[in-house]
Amino acid sequence: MIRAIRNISLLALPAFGLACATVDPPKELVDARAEYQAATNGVAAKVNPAGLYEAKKSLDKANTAFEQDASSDNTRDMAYIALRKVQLASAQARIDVASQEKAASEREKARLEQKLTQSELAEVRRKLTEAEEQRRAEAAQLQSTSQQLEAEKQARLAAEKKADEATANLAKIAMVKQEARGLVITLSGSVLFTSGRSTLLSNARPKLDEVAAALQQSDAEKFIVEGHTDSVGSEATNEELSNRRAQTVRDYLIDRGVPAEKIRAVGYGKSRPVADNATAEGRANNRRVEIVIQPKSQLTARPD
Amino acid sequence: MIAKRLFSPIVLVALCGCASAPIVLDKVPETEAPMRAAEELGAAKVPQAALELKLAQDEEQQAKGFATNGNKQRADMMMLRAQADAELAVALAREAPLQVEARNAAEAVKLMQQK
Repeated sequence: MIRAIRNISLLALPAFGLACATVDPPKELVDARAEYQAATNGVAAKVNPAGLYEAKKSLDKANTAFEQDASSDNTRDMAYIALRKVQLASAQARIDVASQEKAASEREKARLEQKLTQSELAEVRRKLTEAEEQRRAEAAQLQSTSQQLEAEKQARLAAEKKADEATANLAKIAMVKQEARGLVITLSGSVLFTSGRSTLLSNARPKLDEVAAALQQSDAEKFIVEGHTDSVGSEATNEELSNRRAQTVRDYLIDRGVPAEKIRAVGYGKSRPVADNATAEGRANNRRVEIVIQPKSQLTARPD
Repeated sequence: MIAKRLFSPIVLVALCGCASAPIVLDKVPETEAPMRAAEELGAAKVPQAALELKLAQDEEQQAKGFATNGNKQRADMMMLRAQADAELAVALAREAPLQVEARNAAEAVKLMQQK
């Protein structure tokens, strides 16, 4: 989820102006499609069409999974595998080309050796040794650069792992959903407050701590805490209660380190139900606090 | 040789002895064979191959973790990811020295042609 929050401004860009009607493909699928496109114009298409065909089948499966469930782990995994298969097809093609070039050079070398004198061959060997030493020095330099890149990559993987753990923790206590207005974290009202009150339950604090940790890692510009009630009671009472509850959650999140200037609270009372107020279950679902993480581009597009 | 080693009775017993991850066990050989091959080809000396190999090893562990928790689908997918990473590690480990050999041979030819 945090990774989703981090990427949210990027995700929002293409959606802006399209009324956010479509879900963007995961990064893995974007990468796999781009890699495949590049491979079809590269050496793999000529030298290893069979390998590229296998990769295409894998990419087709990932595309189908995306159509069925855009944001599932299964879709991301299939796209990841497709990306690797494209890369494998390209690597195998490069191996074939290198093998052929090496064999051709070896044949030519053997032919030329017959023609050269001993002193000429010695001179060639000396130059080859010099060139080899120079290459070794360059490789050492490259290795050093690669190690730096590798260290950066490992650090990024570690950060992503940490983000995944935070996501898993958050998913245990709240529903997280990508909507047109932004990423929405929904907490049940009964988990946070006693009926009719706006004082946080002690059990609510660890849950809000998880939320605060996630928000602090987000690069989103704005968070909105929305209070919602069921339809029991007057409009004025519900609006006031939802306002106070949203404010309480906002205050707590600020207390836990979320920047005050980035977060605001609003109470919608009973005006925005998500379920039927005629049933007890529906009313329970309507009593909730939602935290909306708005991407930067939506701030001007969708003023609240 | 790799396959022979992998399917030796000792290895099979060791694999089957891991009772905590029964679901993914049938896919372990398919993943570990390319991992061993990548190691033997010197993946550790080729940065990108080393990374792919490490990813494969981590994903295999994650797959076993998912299996232990009863999440078969995720375990299977993670095992397939590990296999894909391991196969790419093999190719990259094979490619790197071959490219060097091809370049050396071409350079030798070029020098000889100048004589």
